[in-house]
Parts: sequence; C-alpha cells; structure tokens
Amino acid sequence: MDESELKIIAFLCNWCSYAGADLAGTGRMQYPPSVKIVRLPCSGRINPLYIIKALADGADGVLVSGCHPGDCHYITGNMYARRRFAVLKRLLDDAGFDSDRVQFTWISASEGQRFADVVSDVTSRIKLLKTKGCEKS
Amino acid sequence: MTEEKLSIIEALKTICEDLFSKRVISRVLAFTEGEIKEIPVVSLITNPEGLKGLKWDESCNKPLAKLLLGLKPKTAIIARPYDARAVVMYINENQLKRDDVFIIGVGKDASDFPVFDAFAKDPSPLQSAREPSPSRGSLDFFLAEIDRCILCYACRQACWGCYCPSCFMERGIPDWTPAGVGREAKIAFHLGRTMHLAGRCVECGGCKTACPSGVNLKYLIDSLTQMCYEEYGHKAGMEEGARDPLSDYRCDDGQPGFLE
Repeated sequence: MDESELKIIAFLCNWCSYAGADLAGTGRMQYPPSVKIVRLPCSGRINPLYIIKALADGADGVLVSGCHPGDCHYITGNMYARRRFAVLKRLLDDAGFDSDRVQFTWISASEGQRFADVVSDVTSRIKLLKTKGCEKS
Repeated sequence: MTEEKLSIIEALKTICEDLFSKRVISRVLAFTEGEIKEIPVVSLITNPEGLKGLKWDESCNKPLAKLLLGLKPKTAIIARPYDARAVVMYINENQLKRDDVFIIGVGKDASDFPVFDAFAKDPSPLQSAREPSPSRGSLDFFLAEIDRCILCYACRQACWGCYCPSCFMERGIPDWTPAGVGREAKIAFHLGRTMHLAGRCVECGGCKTACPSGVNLKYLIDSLTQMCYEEYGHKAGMEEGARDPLSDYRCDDGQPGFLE
C-alpha cells in the first residue's frame, strides 16, 4: 500500500508542535504525505471526542502532539492533556480497538527532525496494522 | 421480608418522623411499596403519613441522588454508599449545597459513607458493583454489546454524572455522531460517555440496571475507575472539595503508551 493512501489526522498545538512541523517544512525534511494536520491552541484543547470522531469517520490513525511537559504556552495545558490521553488510551484498549492507531507524543518548536521522524514512525506502525487487516471502527 | 430489613425500616421511620416533627426537612426521597410487590417505587414523601409505605430490601437498588437536583431544600435522602458519594460529587461540582441535603445513610459500616447526617445499620447490604472483566480488550465482545444497544439513553438518564442540560449526543454543532442508530453513533456515545465519567463514577451500577436491552459495558468504566485509583490515587466522591483526576495533574504523572 502506498503511504499517501493512509489518512492520519495530526492534532498539533499551535505553539510547539505546529511550529515543529513548520520547521520540518522549511528545513526541507522528508516525511510521508499521510498526515493531515489540524492546528489547535493547545494539547489541552483537544477533546477526546475529536479523536474518537476522527476514527469513527474513517481516519486510519490519529497523532496528537503538544509542548513538552513544563514548556506549555499556557503553563499547565499539556499536564491535563497527559492524563486525558492516558485514560483514553486505556479505554480504547479495553474496548478492543488497537490503541496503536492513536499515538501521543511531545514535539517542541525546535524539533523539526523529530517531527519528521515521528510521522515516519507512526505511518509505518499504522501501515503495518492496516496490512494486518485490523477492523475499523 | 426478613426481620432484619423490617427493623431497618422501623429505624428509618423513627429518624424521618423525628425530622418532620422538628421541621428539619420538608420531604424524604425514598423507596416505597408499589402496586407490584417486587418492584419498589421511588417516592418523594412530604408528610409523616407517607412513611407508612417505606420499603427497604435488595430490590431497592436504583441510584436516587440525581433526583435531588432541582428540589427545594431541605430534602432527606435515604442513601446507600453510592448515593452519598454522588451527593459529594454534586457538591464538588457545584450542583448542590451541603446544607440543602440531609443524608440518611443505610449500610454496613458508617465508614463507607463520605458524609452522612444520620445512619442506620444494614448488616447485609448490596454487594459492591465493580466487576471483574474477562471480556476486557475483546473487540468482538464490545461490538456484540454495542449491537444490542438501541441508543435509548436509559443509562445516561440513570447516571448521576450525566446531568448536562444538553448532552454531546444531542448537539448539532459540533456534530459528534452520524445520524441514526448506527454502529458509529453507538460507539461514539459509549466511548464519549465513558470518557466523561472517567474518575467520576461512584459505581452504583445504575447504567447496567437501567438498560432495557441488557447491554453490559460497565466493565469499561470500571477499568478506568480502577486506573484512576491506581495511577492518581483517586476515589470519586469520597472527599468533599477534592478535584477529579482529570481536572487535576501532577508534574510526575506517568505517560503509559506515549511515543518516546
């Protein structure tokens, strides 16, 4: 399967991860074209329902990223987000969905290379799941 | 009805009569005898005569706390531990004032109750409702339960924690769910509701008892309740003024399953 056929929705925070993605672009780093970016003010702004809806509406995977803990533009937004994502991941696992389809990480504004690496990593994981024939929600 | 239960009813009657005569309360929220012997009726008793039909046994297993919302003070509630915990959650979430409710706890041990104003001992209470879940992690089991769901929202109506005036399921903007009673809508509802209840569930089992199709998805929230206890040391409704685990954070929180 071609990587461009995969649909991975990335929810990125405005201050770190989105700027990190921007840096990857201006630095001309190569990463798979599978990822569709949605910019949000903060990782704490991400409602778990965004992730559930993205999957229900046919996304192959979801990537969520914000500032590293301690570096949040709004001081504590990503701290709340961290608990929320840990709980959501457990819930998806319990319900029997492959929670590998939902990935969380932290990317700062200076980590353009890391953004490219994370997208490649997530894409290859989700490609593997899809070729295994994992059931879609 | 056993001797034991009769004596509990007598004790409750004495407590309530006393409260009525001292004008501490104006009504009591309790179970009473219905037309069908096995099925108790939830009643708002407004005078001492109404106490005649008071009922207390295993069939009185529905959570009552939600009915306190919107009642004028001061109402007494005949509460099992989960009702008392729900009342504490309402106080923490600014839906009730402590002074507006008189809690008459009925349970094995007073320490099961986070708060109470009067206590009656029940040597054989309902068993704790948290269930082991052999089916945890099985997509087939989950989807089989989902397929039985008719999206009637009885579980939501029974739950103390689902008191939003407009639920995310009924909102047009943003539209969280596809229209109709399809699998996607049902999955979004149950996962969304479970996320909203994470760290808030008081384990009354109301969602399971209320379901007309016998859907059992309680293991999902039970697992999150256990996680919130193990990871964040939180038990819902046990402490006045406590913050929900998802409205709180610690700098050293774990991040299981996050990408390195």
